Amino acid sequence: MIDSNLPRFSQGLQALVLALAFLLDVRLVVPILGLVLLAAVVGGPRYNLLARLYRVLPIPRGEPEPAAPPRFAQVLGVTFLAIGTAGLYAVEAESTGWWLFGWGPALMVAVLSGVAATTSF
Amino acid sequence: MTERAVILLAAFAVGALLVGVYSLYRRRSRPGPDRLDVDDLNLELMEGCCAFVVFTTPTCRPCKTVLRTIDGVLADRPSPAPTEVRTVDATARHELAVRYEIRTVPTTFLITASGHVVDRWRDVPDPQALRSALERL
Repeated sequence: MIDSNLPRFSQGLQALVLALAFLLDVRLVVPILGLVLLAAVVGGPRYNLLARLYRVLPIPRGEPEPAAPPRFAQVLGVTFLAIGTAGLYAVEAESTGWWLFGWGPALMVAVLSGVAATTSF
Repeated sequence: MTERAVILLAAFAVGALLVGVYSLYRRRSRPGPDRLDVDDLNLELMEGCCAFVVFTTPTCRPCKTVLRTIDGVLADRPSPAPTEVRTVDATARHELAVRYEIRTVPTTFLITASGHVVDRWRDVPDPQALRSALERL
């Protein structure tokens, strides 16, 4: 069980960071965020930087909820950000493939994180 | 940057639309509440614990089978967290049956201490399904 506000906070922050990165064309954010999520998936709560940040901030605590769905969402996020990283750095910039396989997956993570953070999805 | 802003907004709009459609589909195929009010049910659960809430009626025969199934699953757990089993008579507490969209009995919910619905079943649930739901907590 986890605090229900923690995944909302993490997903909201991911959405915001990825959206800003896309607007400002800062590709480096994609692999960095991917590594942050990977550390959380592989290492657990202890290595979850976003969870550590959440605990430090004065955010009201939510009610307990099952941990499995947010964990699955993190795995999906790692996967898509890995694909996005490969697309952004291996494919010629501004080509169709760069948009589709680079920023495309990163935007999907941003959109799904944003929607999850703001709704009960 | 304007072009990227338009793409971003379009992506969020499409995402929100898809999620809206999915939520509608999920609501239609899995009607019922996402949360039960523990005060309605006179439940005081400790954090980390949960409850089975079974909506029944006095003449419901399968309801007794549901309670036996739940007792069997709980008895088999190696190190169980305290789990309450609460029955609600849908005829006596008709307002709860309406509020929680109970269309048939038995209807069983597994809820957390705060009332969040982990899973729900109509008719007699499979013991393995109950065990799987408890493991998700």
